[in-house]
Amino acid sequence: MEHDHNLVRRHKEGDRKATEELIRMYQGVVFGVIFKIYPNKAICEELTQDAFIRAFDKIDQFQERSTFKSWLIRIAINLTKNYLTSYGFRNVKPVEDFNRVKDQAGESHELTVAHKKLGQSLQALVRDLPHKQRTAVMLRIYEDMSFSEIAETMDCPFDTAKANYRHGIQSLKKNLFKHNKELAHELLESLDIFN
Amino acid sequence: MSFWKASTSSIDYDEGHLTQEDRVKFESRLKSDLKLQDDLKEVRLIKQLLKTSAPHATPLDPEIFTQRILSKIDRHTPKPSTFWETIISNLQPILNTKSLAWGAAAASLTLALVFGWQSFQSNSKLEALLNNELNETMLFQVASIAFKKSNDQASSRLELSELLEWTGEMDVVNIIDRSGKLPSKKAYKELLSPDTTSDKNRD
Repeated sequence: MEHDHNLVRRHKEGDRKATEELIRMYQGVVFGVIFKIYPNKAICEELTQDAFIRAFDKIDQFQERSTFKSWLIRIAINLTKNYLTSYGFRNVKPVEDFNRVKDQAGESHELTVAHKKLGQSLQALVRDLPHKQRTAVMLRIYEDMSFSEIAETMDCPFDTAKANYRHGIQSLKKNLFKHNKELAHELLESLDIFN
Repeated sequence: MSFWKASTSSIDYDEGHLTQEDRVKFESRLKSDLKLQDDLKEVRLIKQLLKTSAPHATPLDPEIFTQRILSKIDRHTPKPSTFWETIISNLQPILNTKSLAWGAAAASLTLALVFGWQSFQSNSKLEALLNNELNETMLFQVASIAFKKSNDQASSRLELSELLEWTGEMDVVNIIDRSGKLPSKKAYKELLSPDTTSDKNRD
């Protein structure tokens, strides 16, 4: 966090190297968060750029109470939310192919048909979650954030962040099992909870 | 197994020692533990599925992307090279979007900054003004100072003239010289459109 704030201070003083380092450090995570919300690479690139431009433009409002990362992600999420609710978005659909199933390290896995089908259903359900629940679930699952960090990023109390995550997961669980009962149970059989 | 054992360890498994009441408690506890176990399993499945089915895009080339953002930032934040360009670049958004009253105030601010250059020079307010922190109140405060200065300090015109000559923006001097006080609406428009005034001069 200290390194993070030090870079921000140097950026404010006009140190271009600090600006570059901030962009290098956080472009991946910002892009990743936006892409999980709206998997369209071209639009995500645009929104990632806009998030950095907005952050540097408003850098005087950054109070160093949180990390630059969570502040930046908050800006990115808000920009994406605005984009998704804008008039132009209504006629645009995500273009990425959900069949390309990879893990976080980008490695392809041999997944069962049931696994793939459920994964696709689940991603559709994620997109239908209310914005706050979806954001909390994404930050927790994909970014491995603690609830304190999620609260910071979402600019809400700790308990609200936790509740949004919990409601999001419960809603996904309920709807996934409702629509894919047999497949879900087939997978559950092979899952060892104690591992 | 530790979870399961911990949750049931307080109950005697030998049914021979259980009263009816204990049996009901035991079954209820067992049911609730099994439900919890199922719930945990389902949540675990959801988490696993979320991770393995996450939409994935080929990562961007960090260097290219960094340079692209930097160049966008550069375009977004003009870096004024002279005092005069600084003023214009800060005023331009206001001049483009606000009413004539704003235009008048903005032009007055320009005069204030020029006439009061020396007094503003060591003032931190100037820096704030030039960093896009203009607000309506400040603008009109400075404008009123500008009017006073432009009326009271005839000698300042020489400094202004020198300064503007140095920056090559003589049109503003002409506007002030012609009016002697506030420029006319037309003059404001000319002030707001440096390109138009330059063309006029060339003619």
